[in-house]
Amino acid sequence: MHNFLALVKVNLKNTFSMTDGKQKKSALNRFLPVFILIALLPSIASMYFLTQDLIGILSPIQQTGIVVALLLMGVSITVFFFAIFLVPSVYYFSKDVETLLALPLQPWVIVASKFVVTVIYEYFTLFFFALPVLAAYIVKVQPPVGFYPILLVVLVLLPVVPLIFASILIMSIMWLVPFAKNRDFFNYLSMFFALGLALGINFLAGSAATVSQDVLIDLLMRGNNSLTSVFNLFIPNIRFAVEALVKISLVDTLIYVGIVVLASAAFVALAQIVYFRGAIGVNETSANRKRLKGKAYSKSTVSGNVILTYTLKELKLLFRTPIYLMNCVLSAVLIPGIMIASFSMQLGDTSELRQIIDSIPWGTPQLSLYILAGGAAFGWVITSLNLITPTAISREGQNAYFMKYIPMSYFAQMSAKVLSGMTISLLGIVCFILPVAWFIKLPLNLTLIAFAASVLSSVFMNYLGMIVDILHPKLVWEQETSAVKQNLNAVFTMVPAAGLSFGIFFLIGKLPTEGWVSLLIFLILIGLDFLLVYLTKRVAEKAMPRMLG
Amino acid sequence: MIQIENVTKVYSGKVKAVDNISLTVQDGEIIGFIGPNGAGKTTTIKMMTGILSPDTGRVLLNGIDIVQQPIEAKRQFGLVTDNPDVFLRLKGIEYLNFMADIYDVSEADRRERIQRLAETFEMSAALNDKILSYSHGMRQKIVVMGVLVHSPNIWILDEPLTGLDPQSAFALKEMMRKHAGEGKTVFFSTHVLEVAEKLCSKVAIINKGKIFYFGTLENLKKDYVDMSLEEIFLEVTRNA
Repeated sequence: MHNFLALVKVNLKNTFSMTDGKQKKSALNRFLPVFILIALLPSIASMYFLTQDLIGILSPIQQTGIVVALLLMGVSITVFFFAIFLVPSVYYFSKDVETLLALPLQPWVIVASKFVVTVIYEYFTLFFFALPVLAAYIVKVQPPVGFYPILLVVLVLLPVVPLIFASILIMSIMWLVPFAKNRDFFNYLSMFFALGLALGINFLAGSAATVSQDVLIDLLMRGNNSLTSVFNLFIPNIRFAVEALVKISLVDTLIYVGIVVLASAAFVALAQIVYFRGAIGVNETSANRKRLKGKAYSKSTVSGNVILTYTLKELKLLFRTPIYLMNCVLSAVLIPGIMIASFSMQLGDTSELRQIIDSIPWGTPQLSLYILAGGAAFGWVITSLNLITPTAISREGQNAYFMKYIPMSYFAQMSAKVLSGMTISLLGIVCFILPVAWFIKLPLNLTLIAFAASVLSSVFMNYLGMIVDILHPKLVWEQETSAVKQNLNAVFTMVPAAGLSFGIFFLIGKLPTEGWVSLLIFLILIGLDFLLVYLTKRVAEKAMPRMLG
Repeated sequence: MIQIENVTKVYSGKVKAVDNISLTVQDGEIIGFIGPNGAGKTTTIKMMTGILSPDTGRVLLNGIDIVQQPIEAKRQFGLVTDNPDVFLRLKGIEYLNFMADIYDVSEADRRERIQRLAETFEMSAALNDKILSYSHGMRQKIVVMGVLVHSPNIWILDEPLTGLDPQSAFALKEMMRKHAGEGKTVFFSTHVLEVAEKLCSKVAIINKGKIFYFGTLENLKKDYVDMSLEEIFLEVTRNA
């Protein structure tokens, strides 16, 4: 037990440590909690008010328990989805398994300590989702005193079962997929498979929760939170948690806890068998040791423009490092992909949505302004999500000194890094705007407006991310995960991204709907881009010489 | 030529990592930079190469100030750092070609040099594999090759022989001799005193950020008669 606690402590320190322990807290670090709060405030507030409205509707028919069911279900699915990304990082790519195996530790200690780290990690997810909804629920419903201790137990144990599901899923894939000789390929394949499965389960969970209209009306008429029973649920212990909270039931609480304890014990026992078989040698890579000859050698030694060469190097590292591929590249393509998929599923040839879209008068000046704003907002948001430029220097880690001794100006290096970010942003933009334009039959001129606006806003956001990372690089890390996932630089780009997106729609609402307004907005976007390019140059020249010093 | 003039570096406002050192390395010399762990060797090399800025003093490489004209100064040297774990997900050949592009090496030159260096360091069969698949010694070799591919005038090498197999270590030492023989400059740090003894025209001994000796080994031995280089080194650093 002593070993277990010691390992948990070390793992937590490694996972959540934000500084190298030498530097004093910078002003940026001190204000970080405030920044994060500002970034999350709009979402938290809207969740709070949305919940209040929902309770207002459900209260007269005595169905407020649905809010609890929705919350627990929503948190569980979110935990599961995040865990698909988290579990490979903590269990497989952290590169510590072989070190730990050489220590006199029992296998369960290693597995359980890693599991505890993932559970604590998921509390952040839980905190963000649960707090505003629960606050609204408590204010509106005013549950009895017995609700609170049960709530505490439920929340503390809530991430455990979805995490176990995700962990077993990932571990099985890592163990069973037979590409052991080529670990890189195997890692990529596992990731895509796991992502596909996670999305599939999400869709299934959504459709499983649907019931026929007659049953629904019957349950509604019965009142007394009877509707909560339809949230039946691929996470088996949730129904007991819902019953426990809605009916203040000790028996249901005990069943809920019992399931969590049993599932945890079973997981640790199973993981001891499955985990180590997949984890050992996961960081090895294949080598052919084949001599390069003739044309292949000539092709490999072609000279190129230095900025393009540097950009290509950045892209190769992004695509070849599984953690970066997952967090920086796939996120940029996957999010638009999911949006398109769910949108296209609702949009048949005869649906109401199709009829509404078909009746949209595309030619009006007001609409073209909103298309422009939508394009710009999409560019800001999708770029702030890909994390490439806000982590471009952080990802160099201890090798960042390389940037300082090569004969290439800092601005040229930053431009190459921005270019790599732009490449992925463009991929996301093309993957989204073209299919949407096709689905909604958007005229070509409006498609071009949306595309141009999103490219311009994407340039802005990429340079902004670059400036943030020049000023606040996270260079001390042991695992690649820390450079991207535990790097709060992304928050500093997400706040302005959200602000600008709201701002542009607000601006359009206030301005007259004439052609010159579009031109004005384009000029503003171009002006902002030039400003950011200039600032990047200044900041790089000033801050880079001091970096690592 | 390397000129280090009254250079000081203070960390966190307190610790003097390098304390007012001055050295001039003439063309055609191989300088061994010797000192115990934490003596200030790597900090000095970092200031010579623009990774760190000196708090006082200046560093000139072939007469060019590394702080005032950084890009021009950086074209004068090639650096082998003490950490060969760079760009592990690039293939060896991609890394070398990348370095050749950064230093603007012509296609003909890079092809000839990469082929020659790969033969010398027995890396021909590994060039098309990712650096991640290399052993520590192979990573050290690819980093050395990345420097030699652009044929810099000044070589600055931080512990370059660590991890190299005997053949490759021998080949690198021969290259260093040849480079100096062509009237160019080699500056390298090492812990291996025998290497310094056999290879260097001069040694600089640094401890606690200060240079305690800079000159030929013959002159140093005259001051410490009947003592081995190891004993001399221990004596000098003990009295620091």
